[in-house]
Amino acid sequence: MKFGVIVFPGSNCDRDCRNAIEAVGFDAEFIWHRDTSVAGYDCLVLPGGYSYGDYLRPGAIARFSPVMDSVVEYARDGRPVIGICNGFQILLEAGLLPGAMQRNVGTRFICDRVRVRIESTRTPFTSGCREGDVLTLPIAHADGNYYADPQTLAELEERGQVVFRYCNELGDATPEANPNGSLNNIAGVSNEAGNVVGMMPHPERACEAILGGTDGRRIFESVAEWVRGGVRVGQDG
Amino acid sequence: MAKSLRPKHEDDAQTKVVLEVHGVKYVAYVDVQLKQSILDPQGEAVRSALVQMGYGGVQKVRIGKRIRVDLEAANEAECRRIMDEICSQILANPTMETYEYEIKEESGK
Repeated sequence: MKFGVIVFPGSNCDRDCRNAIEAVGFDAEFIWHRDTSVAGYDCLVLPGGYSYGDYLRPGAIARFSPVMDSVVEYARDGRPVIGICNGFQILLEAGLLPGAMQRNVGTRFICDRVRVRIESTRTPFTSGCREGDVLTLPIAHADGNYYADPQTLAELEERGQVVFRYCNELGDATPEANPNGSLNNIAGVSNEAGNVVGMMPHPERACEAILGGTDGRRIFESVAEWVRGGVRVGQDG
Repeated sequence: MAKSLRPKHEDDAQTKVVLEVHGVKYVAYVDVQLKQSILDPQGEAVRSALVQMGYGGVQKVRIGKRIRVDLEAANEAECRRIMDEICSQILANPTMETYEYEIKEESGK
């Protein structure tokens, strides 16, 4: 099981991702954003950070990096791609996921540990979880306020593309449990096929007990198990 | 030498040179704003500060971006075509923003 972690100028969770993936027991290699091949990897990770300094909008410039054409092709083949935090923002800007990120309600950068509820287990990254499971994961972002127009939002809900929702300790997605104003408490979504997932929380920062939690392992373990099963998500979307 | 005898890449190079020589210099100012339906936390924070400062008449503040682009194009139609492309592809995110721009020919130095 080999993960490819894409490194954009300004990525700063790339090493965390590689360390976490190795700690969970898999291989990980960096892919420089100017590379044009992503062949040989079982899963692609777009890590967090500040690609291109968040200039213009987070992810707006990184989506035009040379590697992104291959990422789009890889995603269209039904293979697993996950964007974490800034990686999520890049996938949104690239149009691989629906919606957009706005500045947090309250305008502040939030660094915290939050609970998210698993809403869908049909993605490679949550296939080893059960619906309703609550994970505790760190967040660290200024632009994590998920927005989609009303029609897109309704379609997301209807098709089960909401993957994670901010919730309280009882697993309820209350307004108080929503750290940033995201519509419907959305913390992560998938594409229609389910193989591309974006999430604001950082699973890679919760893979070792010494760092305060291990719930993040389930994301990497799920996709590894999924890849072992040789599953491909429907290629016709 | 007849044009048709030149290798294709030379034709391309030739075209480029012609464009560079005859391109008109334009300045475009792009105004990017959040769609009205979208909450603007920054604008709201500024509005609230203005009201606290005593400007009770301030109803609404929206924070957008003004971007200046200097470019060369064959003519105004070409310039607008390029600006539409770059505005919709990168300068604005159509999911949450709208854009408009004005262009003018840059006058001589």
